[in-house]
Amino acid sequence: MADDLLADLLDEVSAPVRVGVTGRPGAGRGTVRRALRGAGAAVVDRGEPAEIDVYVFCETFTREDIAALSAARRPIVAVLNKADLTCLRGDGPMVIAAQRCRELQRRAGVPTRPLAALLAVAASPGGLDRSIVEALGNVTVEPARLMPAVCRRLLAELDLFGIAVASTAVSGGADPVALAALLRTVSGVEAVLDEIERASAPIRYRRLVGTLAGMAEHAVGPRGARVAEFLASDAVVLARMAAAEKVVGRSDGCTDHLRRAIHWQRYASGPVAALHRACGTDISRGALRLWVRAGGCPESIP
Amino acid sequence: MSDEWETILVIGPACSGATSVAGLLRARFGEYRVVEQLGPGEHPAAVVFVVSAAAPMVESDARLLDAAAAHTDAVVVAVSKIDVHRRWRQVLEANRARYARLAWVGVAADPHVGQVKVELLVEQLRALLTRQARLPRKPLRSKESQLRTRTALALATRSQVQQSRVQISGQVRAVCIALRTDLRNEAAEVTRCEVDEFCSRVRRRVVNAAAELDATLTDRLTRLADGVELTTPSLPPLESYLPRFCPPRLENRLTVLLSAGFGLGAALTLGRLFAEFAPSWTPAVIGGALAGGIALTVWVIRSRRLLAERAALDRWVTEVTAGLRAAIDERALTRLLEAESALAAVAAAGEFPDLPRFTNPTRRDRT
Repeated sequence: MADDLLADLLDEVSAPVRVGVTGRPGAGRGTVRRALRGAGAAVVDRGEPAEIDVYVFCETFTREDIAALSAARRPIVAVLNKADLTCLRGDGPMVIAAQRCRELQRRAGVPTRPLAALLAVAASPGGLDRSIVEALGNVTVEPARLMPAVCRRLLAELDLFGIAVASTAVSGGADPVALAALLRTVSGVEAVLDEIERASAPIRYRRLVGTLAGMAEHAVGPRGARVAEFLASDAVVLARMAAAEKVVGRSDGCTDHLRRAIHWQRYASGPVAALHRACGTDISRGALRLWVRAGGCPESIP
Repeated sequence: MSDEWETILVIGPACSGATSVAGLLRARFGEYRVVEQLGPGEHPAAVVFVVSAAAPMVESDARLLDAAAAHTDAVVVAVSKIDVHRRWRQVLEANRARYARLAWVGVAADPHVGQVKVELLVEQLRALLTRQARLPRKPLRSKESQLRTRTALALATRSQVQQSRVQISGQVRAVCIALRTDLRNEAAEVTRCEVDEFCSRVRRRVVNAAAELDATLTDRLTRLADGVELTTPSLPPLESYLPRFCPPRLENRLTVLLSAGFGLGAALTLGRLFAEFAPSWTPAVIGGALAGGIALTVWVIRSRRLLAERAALDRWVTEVTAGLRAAIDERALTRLLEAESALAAVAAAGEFPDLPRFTNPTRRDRT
């Protein structure tokens, strides 16, 4: 019974967070949507309800971008798209775009990451077909033997920086799988996904807490005893603790559970938002359970 | 030609590449000053607005373009970074749909791939500047900017009028205070036979001061109107603001009565005192005491009357200068109001006092 409940709970909580893509017109929202979908994010279509937003812009923030970011009601991640065209000199476009993103993040106070959505789309399953890979092999051959149509396709699907990276890799002997992995790394989509994951921690925590609260309604009467038992079990308390730790962004891994419990209890009673207060309490409670499990003996205060 | 024709403004939103474009234009337009920012009151001969080809323009870019192009028709919009953004033509078309009247060109001023491409921009800009040099200058472009300029003019007129109001009232106050102090000093030294003369002198000086202030006001209004003819409103005459001098008659009568009593008392006291000391001289003592009493009475009456008249004159001078101030203030306010409404009417009609002279709008509707 408890295992079934736990499995349901896990399913519900671990369901992917719905990502909506908004942003500046012409900045490549469609491509970013495809790129994130290809990379495994649960991207919703336009107009569908989302839980987290990805705001797409290019080059730098305009006034409209800043206004949209500061008016966001949901967790939001800003994505500097077309990062592969930032600057084709020096350290390369992605490094320069990453630097620019750090500055922009300081300015807007919103997590900002660079992305070459075109490369991420190419790296997604089915993004690169055999003919493209062959054509990439021919790019570095002197003189290049490429049909104009193939040339256009390469430009449309990889653009200049993508062609440079991919053709170098292919001429170095990379197979399609390795090429896709390389493009995925270069595109910066991993960092965007990490950022989305980080921003969705509060959503997951709220989901867990909401579901548990829903279950608590059934924990009354003779048949509710087992539900109540389940809700008070170590598994649930530790699951809450894990979700809360992701929200506060700290998993200190401290083995002195009692000290940890005291620390988080103090944190919860400090000047923090309601969400963080709840998280602090949950971590503290989880740490106490771990302490008892490790042999701690609670004493009643006289 | 003045300086304002010799500037080319190169401007654009952040990261648009305006600096690179300005650098290239500086090398190609040696005869012009290519700037990225205008000085106060400076108007460019032409504006090059630079937008990136990364994405179509947004509202804030459009606002910047409107502001930059507010004072000139010679605007070229350069879509930059066409070396890396392959879809720059679509971006350009999307932008052009919004500003179809402007000249649009693609540029690569600091290319990462391929050659510098600014020749088309240089060509367009040269053509525009040549055309601009031939045409008489059109100061204002759109209805919106005309409206803005009109509003600015109306505001400027208003602020000038208000400044004049403050300055004139300050001047009136200073003149009136000086006049009052002067006249009060004179009133304190006036003798009985000079009272009438003093009164006419006060009147003369007040009329002179009023005429002087009126002249200052007219001068200021003429400068303010700068070509617009202003009517002088009819106002009540200055005399109606100035009180007449009334000698203190009742007080004088009372003074006579009291002084006579005082003289009689003094004569009786002295007569009895001297009669005690020299009884044989009694008739002479009576005559002397009477004469002394009468002399004392006359002196007291004269002194008291002079002091009373000086006090009355002092009060009258204060009232007269206050009347003068009220009269001039009213006159100044009325005339400034007239001037303001006349200037506002001119500004609203779209004519500008700082441009070549124009005719006064008909003002027959005023009665």
